[in-house]
Parts: sequence; C-alpha cells; structure tokens
Amino acid sequence: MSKIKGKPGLVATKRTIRGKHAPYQAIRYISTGDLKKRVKDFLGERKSRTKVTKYLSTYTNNIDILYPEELEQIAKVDKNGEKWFAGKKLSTLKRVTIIKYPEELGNIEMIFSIKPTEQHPKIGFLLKYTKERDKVSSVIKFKRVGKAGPRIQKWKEDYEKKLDKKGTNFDKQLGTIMALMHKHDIRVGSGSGGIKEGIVKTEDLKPRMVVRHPKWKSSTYPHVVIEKKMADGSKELFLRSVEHQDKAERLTWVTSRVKSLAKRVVKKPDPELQKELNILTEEQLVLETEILKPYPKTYTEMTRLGHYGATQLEARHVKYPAPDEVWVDFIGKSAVRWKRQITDPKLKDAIRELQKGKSDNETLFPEVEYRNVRKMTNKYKILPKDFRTFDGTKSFTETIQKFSSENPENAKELKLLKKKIFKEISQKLGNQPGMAEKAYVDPVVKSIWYEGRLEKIVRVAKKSYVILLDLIKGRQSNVERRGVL
Amino acid sequence: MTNEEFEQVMKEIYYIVWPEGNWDSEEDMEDSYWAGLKEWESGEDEADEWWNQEESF
Repeated sequence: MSKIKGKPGLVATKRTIRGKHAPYQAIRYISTGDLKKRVKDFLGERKSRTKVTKYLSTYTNNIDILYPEELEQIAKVDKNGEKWFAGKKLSTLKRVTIIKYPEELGNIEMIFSIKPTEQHPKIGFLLKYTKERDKVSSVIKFKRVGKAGPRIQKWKEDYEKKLDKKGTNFDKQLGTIMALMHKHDIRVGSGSGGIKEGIVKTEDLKPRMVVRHPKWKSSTYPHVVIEKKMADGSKELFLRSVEHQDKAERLTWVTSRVKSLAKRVVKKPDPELQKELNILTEEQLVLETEILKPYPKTYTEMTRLGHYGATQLEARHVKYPAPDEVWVDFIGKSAVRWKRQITDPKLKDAIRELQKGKSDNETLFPEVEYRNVRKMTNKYKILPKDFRTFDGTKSFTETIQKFSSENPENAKELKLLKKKIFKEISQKLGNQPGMAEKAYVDPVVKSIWYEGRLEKIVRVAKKSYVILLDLIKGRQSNVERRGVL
Repeated sequence: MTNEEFEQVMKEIYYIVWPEGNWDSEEDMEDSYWAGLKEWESGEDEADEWWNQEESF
C-alpha cells in the first residue's frame, strides 16, 4: 500500500495550442511514472485483448508521451546550464504526457480559400452553418447591429438626461442603472435562468445533486456533483460532466479494481498483480484529472451571499478603495463576480449620491424594478447584445484604421497586431482583450479584416457616404431652388 | 467615425457576404428583437461571457 500512496500523482495543465489546421486544447500531465513502457510490457505479456488491454491501447493512441531524451531537445536552458520543461527541472522528470482534444467549434465555421468560391466569387470565402436557423438569425443580427446606431444614440441621450437630474428620484435611479448597463456591462437582474441545481437519479440509480448552466442546454451536459475523499482524509466537491459517462463507468471499475488489487498485493506480493496495479493506479489518476473538475467556489459563495443584478444592488456593493475611486463589487447572475471600477464622472457622482446615508443592506434603487428597465429599452428596441456588439464592432473598425500602416507578413505578426488592436478596444470598452475579441466584435467583420479587406471597405464606405451626403444636399438645394423659383 | 459611416461600412460588408440580401428591408427585424429579448431574459445571451470568465472550466 505504501508504494501506491507514496507514488507521485499527475499535475495537469490545460492550454490552447494554435494547431496547423485548427486550435486545440492540450492537457499536459507531468509525472515521475513510466506509463508507456509499462503499458507496452503489460500489453506484450498478455495474449488475449481483455477489456483492460483494449481500453489501454485505445487510450495510449490518444496521448503523446515524451521521454527525457525527447525532452532534452525542447527543454529550455537557464543561465546555470540547468534544463527546464514546463516550469520543472528536467532532471526531476521521467516523462511528460500530452493529451490532445479538438477545440469545440461554434455554430459558424469560416472557411477561407485563396481562390474565389462559387458561392462568393468576389472574396473567396464562405460561411458554413450547422443549422439553417443559425444562418437566418446571424444575418438578421448583423443587420440589427449595423442599423442600431441612431437608436442607441437616442437611448443614450435619454438616459444621460435622467442621470443629470438632481436628487435621487426615480429618473435618476433609472438613468444610473442604464449607464451601469451600457458603460460597465452590468446585468439588470440576477435572473432565474442561471445555474440550476436539483436532485436526480443517475445511471447508478443513486440520487445526486446536478448543476446545469444555460450554456450546457445546447452544447454540453449537466454536471453531477461528486464528493471525493482526499488523501488527507478530507472531503471535497467535484463536478463530473455526464458527457464523460463511459469514462466515468471506467473510472468506477478501475477504482474498485485498484482497491481489491492493492489488498491482494499487500497480503501476498505478486509481481504480475503489482504491474497491473501500477498501471491502473496511474490510469485512475489520469481519468480523475480529466473528467472531474473542482466545484467552483463561486457557487458556494453565491448560495451564501445571494446574487444580484443592477436593479437589486445594495449600499454594501459600492466600495471606495481610494477617495476618488468608486467600485461596484457583487456576485451576479450565474455566480460571476462583478468587480468594476466606475470611471464616468457623472455615474460616479450618481452612485455616491444614491448610496449616501444608506445602511449596508439597503437597496440603491428602491423605486426601479426590472419592468421599468424593460419599458425603456423597449421604447428604443435596444438589447444589451445590440449595444455590446455595436460598441465593440464600431470600435474595431475605428481601431484597425489606426494600425492600417502595419502589414503583417506571417501568423506571428498578425497575432501581435491583433493583440495591440484588442488591447486598445478593451481599454475603450472597459473589459479584457480576450473578452472584447470573443464577445463584442461581430465575427463576420473580424473575418473580413483577417482577409485584409476591412480597411479598404471602410475607405470606400466613407467615400460613398460623402457622395451620398452630397447627393442628398444637392437634391435639397435643387428643391430649395425650385421653391425659390 | 459617425454612426452613419459605420452603418455604411456594415452595409458594404453585408452585400459582400450576403449578395442576395436586402439591407433596407425591415422584415424580421421586429421579430428578431422579441426573440432577442426572450433570449436576454432567459439568460442565454450571457452564457458565453460566463464561460470565458470561469477558468476552472
């Protein structure tokens, strides 16, 4: 038993790798074990392909194992001549295991070709949708964003007027909520459509708590909550996706097999059994690392503290780390912690004023309810998605012009340029560069830029808009002239 | 860039990607708003950002 307990476990790190054809997720396990060799020995010595051997051979095909001699070639050397790999001294490593998975693709696949395609003879790329419904909604959404400018402008003028009002009346409260939504992307309510918890009977017919996020409705599966006994005897919560059912079943089998083998080996040492035990112990660790995820602490925090949206904010959610700094800090929908520094001077003053003299649990906006917010956004037919994508995409088309003199010649240069562009956009939007890229800029506009066509389109559009204005002005002056005549 | 110039940019792109489309048609726009509102209220539109923020997943 001591051998098993003392055996170092696997350390897993997950990262996105830019592949030759598509990005993929790589999970790297670092271990001082020697799995591949032992798997080979194990497979070689067994004549019949039992359930165990079949599984292991499939499993080893999906993983890439690097040995010291291979690691030597890619390791980094420090000033003292010491070789390092993944933050570990090479001398301490026996092998590195890399497991590759394709990254999940969204609904839209953009396929670029050098030659023009039949569908799009002009530009040579086509959009491929997995569902016709997505195609229709994508076209309409694009048009909605393109035409949203005037509506957003009117809505902004309206809420800014409300924000400018003196005192803490209904209008001031509503204007403040709108500004929090627009300028800091804060949600209106904590919502009921977020994380759902419930008890279900699972495949083993045991009642288990299940957590489900709205995201998982379409793409993934609910997660089962597992209580796991740790090495020190403590118990910790983990989540396991129902998607990995086959692996979970395998893990159940491996765990019980390890337990019984360990008992037998301790009772009477047997090299054959010891060999199987070593392999299965390592497999157990790999499976656990792969399919069990730590239960997010924010869930627990959400249950303990409650969750809030802009209309439900309380005085305690406003913080002043420095005399001239105003922050809002609260647990929002889906257990996400919202911690935002308020930068707009008018909004800062409004929040200070609304919080003044209130006790910690007193609401900041006592007169405003969700229906009031909805009434106002309905008036301008504005959705958070509209102004979010509008601000991001417009900012993107503006920012790329600043960098139009830079002509990246390879993928690395393009990546650097993209980084600079989104850093600037995120500063304007008050979020993170990765978030600005993923959630704020329309993917079609981004793809046009990747093709190197957006700068030209912006120039042409600006020119044609000037011509259009001249035409309108010309028509107006003709009308005026006719009126005079 | 003015809102009008931005609309013009989007219009140019629209006709490149969907040459058979009709930018000026308002058909479906109203329906799309109500569908979007339903999505917003159900919280589905926020899932992506949540996903990006949760490192543990």
